[in-house]
Amino acid sequence: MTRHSLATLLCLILAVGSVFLSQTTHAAEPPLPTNKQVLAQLDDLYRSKSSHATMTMNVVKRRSTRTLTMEMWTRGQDQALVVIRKPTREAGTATLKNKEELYNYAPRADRLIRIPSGLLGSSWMGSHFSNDDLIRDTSWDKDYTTQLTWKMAGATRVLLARMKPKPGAPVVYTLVLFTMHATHFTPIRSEFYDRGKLVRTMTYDDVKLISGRRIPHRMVLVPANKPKERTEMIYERFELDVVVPESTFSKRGLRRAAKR
Amino acid sequence: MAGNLRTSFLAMAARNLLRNGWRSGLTAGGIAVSVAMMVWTVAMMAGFSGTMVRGATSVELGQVQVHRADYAEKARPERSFEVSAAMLKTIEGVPEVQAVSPRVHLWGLLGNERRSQVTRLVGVDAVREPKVTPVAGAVTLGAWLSAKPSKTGPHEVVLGKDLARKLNVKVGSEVVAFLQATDGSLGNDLFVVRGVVETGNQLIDRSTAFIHLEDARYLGVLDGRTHELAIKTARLDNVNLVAAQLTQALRSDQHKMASAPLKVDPDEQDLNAAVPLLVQPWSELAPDLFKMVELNDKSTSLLYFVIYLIAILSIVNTQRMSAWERRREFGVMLAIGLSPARLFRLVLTETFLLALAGALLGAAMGTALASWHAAVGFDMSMFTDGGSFSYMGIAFNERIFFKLRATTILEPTLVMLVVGTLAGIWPAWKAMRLEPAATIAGRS
Repeated sequence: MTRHSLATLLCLILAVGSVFLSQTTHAAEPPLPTNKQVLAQLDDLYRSKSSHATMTMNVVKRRSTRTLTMEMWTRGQDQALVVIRKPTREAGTATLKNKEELYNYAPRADRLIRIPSGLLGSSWMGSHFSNDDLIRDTSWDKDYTTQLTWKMAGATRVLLARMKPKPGAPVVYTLVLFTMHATHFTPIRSEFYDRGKLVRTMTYDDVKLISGRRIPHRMVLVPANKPKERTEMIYERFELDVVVPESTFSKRGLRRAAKR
Repeated sequence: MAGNLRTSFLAMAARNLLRNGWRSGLTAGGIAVSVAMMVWTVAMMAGFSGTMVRGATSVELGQVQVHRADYAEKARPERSFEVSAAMLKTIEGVPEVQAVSPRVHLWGLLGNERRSQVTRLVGVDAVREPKVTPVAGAVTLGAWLSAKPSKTGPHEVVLGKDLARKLNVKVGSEVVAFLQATDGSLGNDLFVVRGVVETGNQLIDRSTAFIHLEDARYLGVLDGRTHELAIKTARLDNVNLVAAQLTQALRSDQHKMASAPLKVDPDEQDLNAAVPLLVQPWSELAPDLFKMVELNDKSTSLLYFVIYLIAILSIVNTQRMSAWERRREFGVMLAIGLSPARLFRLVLTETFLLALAGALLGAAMGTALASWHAAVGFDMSMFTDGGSFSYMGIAFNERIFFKLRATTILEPTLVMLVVGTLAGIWPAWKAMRLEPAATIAGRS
C-alpha cells in the first residue's frame, strides 16, 4: 500500500465516522416541545396584562433615515397607545388602538382621525410596519397550524416553527417561518410569505430578562422588495404588568399622554 | 350642332329619369340620406371629441403643464421646484397663454373621528386657479377658498362632492388632514370645510380636497416650492406650438429645460440638484385621453366606410334593377341607331345626374341639421337617466354642440358623387352590350 492510498483510507474512515457521529447526535435530540408551550410564549412575547415601554424607531429608507422616540402603553390584547416624543415637530402624534378601532391623533389639530379598515395594510407612521401589525389580534396559537422541527443553524440547534394560517383566520400571510431559541423559545428570526413569495423578514436580538421573561429588545424588519430599507424597533425601557388604567385609552387619556 | 346634341343628350337623360319618378327619387334619396347622415355624424363626433378634450383639460389639467422633468416621470412629492413671480410673468408673457396656476399635490388621510378617506390634497392659489379651471364655478355648496388665506382663522378646504358625502361632512364641518410630508415626517392640520365642488371629473369629485397653497406647503414641508404649473391657453388646436414657445421663453429666462420626462434613480438623486423643467401639452399629460380621441377618429372613419359601402350597394342595386326594367327601351334605342357608346354615356349621365341631385340634397339636409345642433346643441339626455353623463371621468352636459367645418360637408358630397357615378358603370356596360333584336322580342 502506498502512502497515498493509506491517506485515502484514513479519509474514508473519518468520513464514515463523522456520518455515524452525526447520526448519534441526531438520535440524542431532545424531544420537541409541544406547540402550546412554544406558541403561548410567542403570543405573550410583547403582550401581557399590561405594559409600558419607551422605544426608539429607526426608519431607514433609500434617501433618508428617520429616528423617532416613542412611548407605548398596552393593556390586555386589544388596547394600545403609542405616542411620539421626538422629534419635536412630530411630538404628540399618537396612535390609539381601542378594541377594534384604530385612530391617529393629530396634535396640531388636537383631533383624532379614524384609520379606515382599508388602510390596515398601509404604513404605520411612515415605517415599514403596517397599521395591521399594530392592531393585529391574531394568535399564533389559535389562528395557525404549526409544525415544529429541530434545525441546526451552524453549531447551535434552533427550533423551527412552520406556521400556516387556519382557514378563515384573519391573516394576510400564507406562511410564517419562525426560528426560535432551542430552550427558551425566544424568536431569532421570522419570515413572512404571501403565496410562496417572501414578503418580509424580521430578526430579534438583544434579549433581556424582564419580570422573569426573556424579551428581545431589538427587532429589525426588512421588506423583501426593498432589501436596502429597514425599520428597527429598539426598546429602551420595558416594564411588564405595571398599572395601566383603562382610562389611558380614552380620548382624554390620550390627550393627557400626548401633551406630556 | 355638337352643343345642341349635348343639350338634347342631357335633356334626354333628365327626361328618362323623370319618366320614372319613384325609381329616381328612391335612388337620389338614398344618396341624399347617406350624405346627410355623414355630415351629421362627422359634425357630432367632432363636437364630442372637442367636448371631451375641453372637459378633461379645462377641469383638471389645463392645456399645458410645467413640472420638474423627473416629476413628470414619476410624481414623487419631493420633486418640487421654486417658482418666482418673474417666472410666472414670463409664462404669462407667452402669446395665447391666458392664465397660469401653481399647484402642490399631496396624498394623505382626511377625515374625523368617525370616518376618513385617502385624499388628494391640492394646494392652489385661490385667485389664480379659477382662471385656469372652472373649479370655482363648480362650487355647489358654500364658497370657493377666500382670496387671501386668513392668518388667524381656521384653514380652509373645498371638498369634492362625493368626498364630502363619504366623510359625511357639511360646509362648516371640521376635518383633519394627516399625512407623511416630503421629508418623511408626519404632518397634520385642522381644516374647516368652506365649500363643496361638483365638476363631473371623478378624480376631483371623489378624492380631491383643495386647500390654500401656503397651507399645503406647510403641511407637506415644501418650503415654498411647487409641484406643478397649470396653464390655460386660448385655443385647443395649437397647444403643441404654445408648449414649444413656453419652453423657449423659460429657457431664455435662465431655466434649465428638458425635452422629455427624466428617469432619475432616487438613490443617486441629490434633492437640491437643479433638475430641468419640462413643459408638456395635454396630449402628453393625458396620453390615454389623446389615444381615446385618436381612436375615436379612427373608429369614425370605419363608420364612414360602412356608410359609403351601404350607399354604394344600394345605388348599384337600383341602377341594375332599372337597367333590367329598361332593357326593352335600350333595345329599341339601339335598334333605331343609337350607338352602344352613346347609350353607355346616356346611362352614365343619368346616374351622374341622380348622384348630383342626391348629394346636393343630402349636403343641404345634413348641413341644416348639423348647424341646428351646432347652434342649440344636441340633447343627449335621451341616452341617460337624466342629469349629465360622464365618460372616462369627464362630465358632459346634456347637450353636445356639433362642430361643422367646410370639409365636413364637402367630403361626403364629393365622395358620394364620384362613388354614385362609378356605380352606374356596370349597368351602363350591360345596356351597351344588349342584343337589340332578342331584347325587343323579349327573348333575353
